[in-house]
Amino acid sequence: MARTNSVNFTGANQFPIASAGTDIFKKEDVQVATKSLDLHTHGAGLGAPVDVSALAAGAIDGSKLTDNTVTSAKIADGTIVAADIADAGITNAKLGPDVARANLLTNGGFEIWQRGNGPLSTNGQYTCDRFALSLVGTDTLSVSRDTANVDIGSTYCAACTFTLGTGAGGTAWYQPLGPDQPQLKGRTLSASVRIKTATANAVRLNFYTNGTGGAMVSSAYHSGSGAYQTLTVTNSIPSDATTFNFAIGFAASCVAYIDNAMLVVGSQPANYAPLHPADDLARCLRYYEILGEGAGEIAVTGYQAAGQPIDATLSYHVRKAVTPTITKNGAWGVLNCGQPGTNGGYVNSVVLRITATASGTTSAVNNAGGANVTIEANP
Amino acid sequence: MSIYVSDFTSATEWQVIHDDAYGGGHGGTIDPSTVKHTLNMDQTENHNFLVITCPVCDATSTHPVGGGAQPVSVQQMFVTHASANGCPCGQVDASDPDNLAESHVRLQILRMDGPERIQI
Repeated sequence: MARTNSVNFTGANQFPIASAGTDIFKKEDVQVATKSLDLHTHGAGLGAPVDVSALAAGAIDGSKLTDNTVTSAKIADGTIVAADIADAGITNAKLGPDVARANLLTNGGFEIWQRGNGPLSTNGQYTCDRFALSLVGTDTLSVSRDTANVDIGSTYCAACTFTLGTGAGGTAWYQPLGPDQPQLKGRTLSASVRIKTATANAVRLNFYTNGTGGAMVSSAYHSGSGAYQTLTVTNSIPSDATTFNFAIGFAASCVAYIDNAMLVVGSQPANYAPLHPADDLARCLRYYEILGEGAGEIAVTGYQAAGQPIDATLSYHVRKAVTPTITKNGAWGVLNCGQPGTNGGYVNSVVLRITATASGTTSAVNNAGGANVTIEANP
Repeated sequence: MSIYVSDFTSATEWQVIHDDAYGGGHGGTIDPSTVKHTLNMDQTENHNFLVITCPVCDATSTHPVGGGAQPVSVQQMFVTHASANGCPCGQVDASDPDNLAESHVRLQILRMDGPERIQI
C-alpha cells in the first residue's frame, strides 16, 4: 500500500502515515505526528471533532457557555419551572392576553341594562349601565341589548346601529373614567373589546385623556370580516388629567355588536374576565339603581294632620358616587295624599314624603307597573 | 337619566327630556316657573334641590345642585333659576347680577360634591 496522509490533521499539521510493512519509514513521520499531537485541540485541522457521546453526563457546566447565546430553540418546551424565574422578574410587558387581571370598567360585559333594553339613541344618554352616547354633528347611533349575536360566554351584547352624518368619526359610545377613578392618573392603561361588524374601517377603540401630554389613542379598525375580532388600545394617563374616557368610536355607517370589554393597568391588554354577577351589579349600583322594581315594594303609611308631611327614609343598596338625582316614576296608589315626592336625595338614602290632605290615615304605595324611584349619580 | 333640561329656550319655556321613562324616552316643553325647590321639614325651601316635572308622564326628578344624573344641565338649571328668582337662602336676589347667582351655585356645588364636580 502507498503511504497516506492524516485526514483530521490538515494543512501544516497534516502528517504522513506508513500503513503497510513495505512502506518506507521516515523520521519526519514521527516529528510531524508528535508536533501535531502537541497542538491537538479537536479544532479545524487539529484532530477529529469531539464525540459528545463520549462526554460524561453533566460534565459541561454553565461557565462553558457563552453569555446571552442560549435561545428558545435550545430549551425544551414546558421545562422552565417557577424556581428558574427570579422573584418579581415577570413584568407586565411579558403577560399574554389570557392572563386574567382586574377589570377597571363598570359593566364591561354589557350584561346590565337597568335603564331598559333600548333602543337608546339620545345624545348624552346612558344606555347599558355606565356607557353613554356622545353624538357629533348629524350622526345617529342607536344602542340595544342583543342576545342573538353575543360573544362566547356572554348573555348579552350591545347592538349598535350607526349612521354617519357630519360627525367625521367623532361619535362615540363611551365610559367616563376620570371623574370617579382618579387613582388611574399617572398609569398606563390597556383596553380590549370584542367587536363584530361586516363593515370595514367603521369601528375602533378610542382612548382619550387630557392633561400634560395627553391625547387620544385609537386602535386599528375592525376589518369588516363579519366575525368577532379583539381590538386593543393602550394609553398613558397624565397625572394632571381631569377627563379620560374609554370609547368605541364610529366612523362609517354600520351595524356593530360590542361585547366583553376589559380595561387593565399596564401596557398589555387582557382578554375579558367576567366578574361574579353580584360584583358586576354592585359596580353599576354605585351610579344607578331602582327602588321599588316590584309593585308594592315601597309603602308609606301613617296618621297625620291635614297639610302635614309623613317622611320615610329609603336606603340605597350601594352608596352613590356623588349626590344623586332622584326620580319618582309612575302613578302610585295613594290614600289621603297626592303623589309622593322627596325632599332631596343624598349619597346613602332618600327621604320619600307624602303630605296628608286631611287629618287621618295617609299612605302611598308603588302598586303599578313603572311606579318606582330611580337614583342616578353620574360623576 | 332622569328628567333634565336640554334647552333653556327662554324665560318662559324650557325643553326637557325624560330619557329613561317607563316604556321609552320622551320629552316636551315646561314653564320654568314650575321648577321648584324641595321643602324642609319646617316647610322652608331647600336651595340644594330643585324638582322638575315631566310634561308627558308627570314623573318628577329631584336634582341636587351638584348635578346628580346630568351635571352640566342641572348645574346650569340652578344658575338660571337663581338668576331669575333669587335663592331662598337669601344670599342672591332676583335683581342681582347673574354672575352672583353663578358664584353662589358654584359654592353650593363645592360644598355638596367637592370642587372637581363644578362643570359650569
